[in-house]
Amino acid sequence: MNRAAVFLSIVLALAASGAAWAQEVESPPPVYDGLSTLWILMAAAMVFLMQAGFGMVESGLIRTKNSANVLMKNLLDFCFAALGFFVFGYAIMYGSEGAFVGTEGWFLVGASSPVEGLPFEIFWLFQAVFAGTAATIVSGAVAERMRFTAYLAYSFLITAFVYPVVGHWVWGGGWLASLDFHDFAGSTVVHGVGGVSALIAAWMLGPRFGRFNKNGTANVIGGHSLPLVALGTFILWFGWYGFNAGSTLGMGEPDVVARVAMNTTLAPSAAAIVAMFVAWGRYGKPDLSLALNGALAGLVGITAPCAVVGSGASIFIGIVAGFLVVFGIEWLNVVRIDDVVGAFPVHGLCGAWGTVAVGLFGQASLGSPADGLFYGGGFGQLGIQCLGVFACFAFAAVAMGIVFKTIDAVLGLRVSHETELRGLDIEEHGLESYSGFQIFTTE
Amino acid sequence: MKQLVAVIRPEQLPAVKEELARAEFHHLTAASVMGTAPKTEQRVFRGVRREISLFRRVRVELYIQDAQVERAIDAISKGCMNSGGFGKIFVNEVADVVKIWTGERGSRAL
Repeated sequence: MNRAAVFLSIVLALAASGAAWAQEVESPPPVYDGLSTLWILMAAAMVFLMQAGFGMVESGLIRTKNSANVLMKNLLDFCFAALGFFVFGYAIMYGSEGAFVGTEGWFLVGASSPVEGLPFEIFWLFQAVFAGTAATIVSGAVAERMRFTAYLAYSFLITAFVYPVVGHWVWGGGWLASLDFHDFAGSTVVHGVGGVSALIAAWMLGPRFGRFNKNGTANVIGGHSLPLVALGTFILWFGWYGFNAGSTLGMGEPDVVARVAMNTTLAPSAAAIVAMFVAWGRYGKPDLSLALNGALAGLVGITAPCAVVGSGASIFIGIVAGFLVVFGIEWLNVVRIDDVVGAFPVHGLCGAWGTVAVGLFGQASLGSPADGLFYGGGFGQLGIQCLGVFACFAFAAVAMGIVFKTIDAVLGLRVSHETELRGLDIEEHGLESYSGFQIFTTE
Repeated sequence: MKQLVAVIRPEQLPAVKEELARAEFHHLTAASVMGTAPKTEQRVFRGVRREISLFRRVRVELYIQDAQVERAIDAISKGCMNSGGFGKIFVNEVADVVKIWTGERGSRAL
């Protein structure tokens, strides 16, 4: 027994010295943290499932004649996001530490994980599903009228070039990162970029036929399945635990993971309740689709500050998000932009609010770069947060404006009037979502 | 009293409805129906060619006074011409009408 132990220790010592010797010649084999890797793999899969959530919300909120088309877009924008993020996106976002763009690691050649203990592939996957989320936000806003080929081109361009630039500024060591701008899981980077792109696209496309009357008043074009919208929202909320709590990029600090998960529960709950009551008060009935939008608004709002604020602040952030989403949707009707699923109020407005909220409620003791305004930190962090939101939104608006203008010139953004009336399912894909059902295909 | 039955394509309904409203016909019944046509359509689904012989149509029904018939026909025709020019209108005699709430009969019940 004793002998065996001695023998074993000699072998181990030899092996260790061998390793030490080898170290001088080549780099040491990386040491991975299994628990962190497992958690990020799981979180990435949960964020991936959010594609299903978006797909259900969007197909439920539109008419049957276009629901297969919007699901095609949801599938394909993720696939293009994965490839776009493989070819160019990752290099721009994490390639090197320039102020504005990374420039190394095209096709992931020579790319490495910036997070210790995490294999590169899992880090890439987690970032790629985020890129996919940013891309898929737009499909709901442009539903029922955007040409399929134009959408494919868009989804590659946003994930290969536009989203990664903002990502680099904030997470890849760019100029906003050096200013200590804090966006934990992407209220601005993911949802802000997606929401602004959605607004620009919906504005450039123009409203669906029959959405607004000639005198400017709005019509309702009812969604065909509220159960699908509800299912999609629950899937999104589930996925958000991966989105936010996975953005810890490991299990090194379980207390942070736990706090994030708790805040990710409180904010959407408060927001859904507020959105429900605001809609109840203004329109007379509690509206399911607005309450569901409210939950998403709270989730987007808490995405940036989830790690650095307390539970009370989370609830307050959710309450404000609940107001923002309902009034944001009303505002869209006033300016006559047809954002079919409310992508801009949910992802754009609440993304901006959540990011700014870091400068109000952030606590240095919880990991915020500085205390927020309401915790005695003054206006410093608040100013940085506002600057960051403005810069990212402005860049996304200009870049996506150019992208959509170019696509419009080359492919055409919008389907013909006849296609819009007959439905994109039958015209662009030659199929029907509910074949055999008696359903009105106009209106 | 006459019954007007217009069989049109689904995508024509908004235009027809708009013209009827402009001509002050505010009561219409619309139903989603399927109908055959002399020409069938080839459609490929999951790589398999399929012959489509039943097409989606909308049947619009109007119950109106005899004197309104030409105006209604004009309105429906205009709406159809604005949206591709398809469609057919059938004019039928209506024997009687009963308005349940008041018990009125005939043309007063329309």
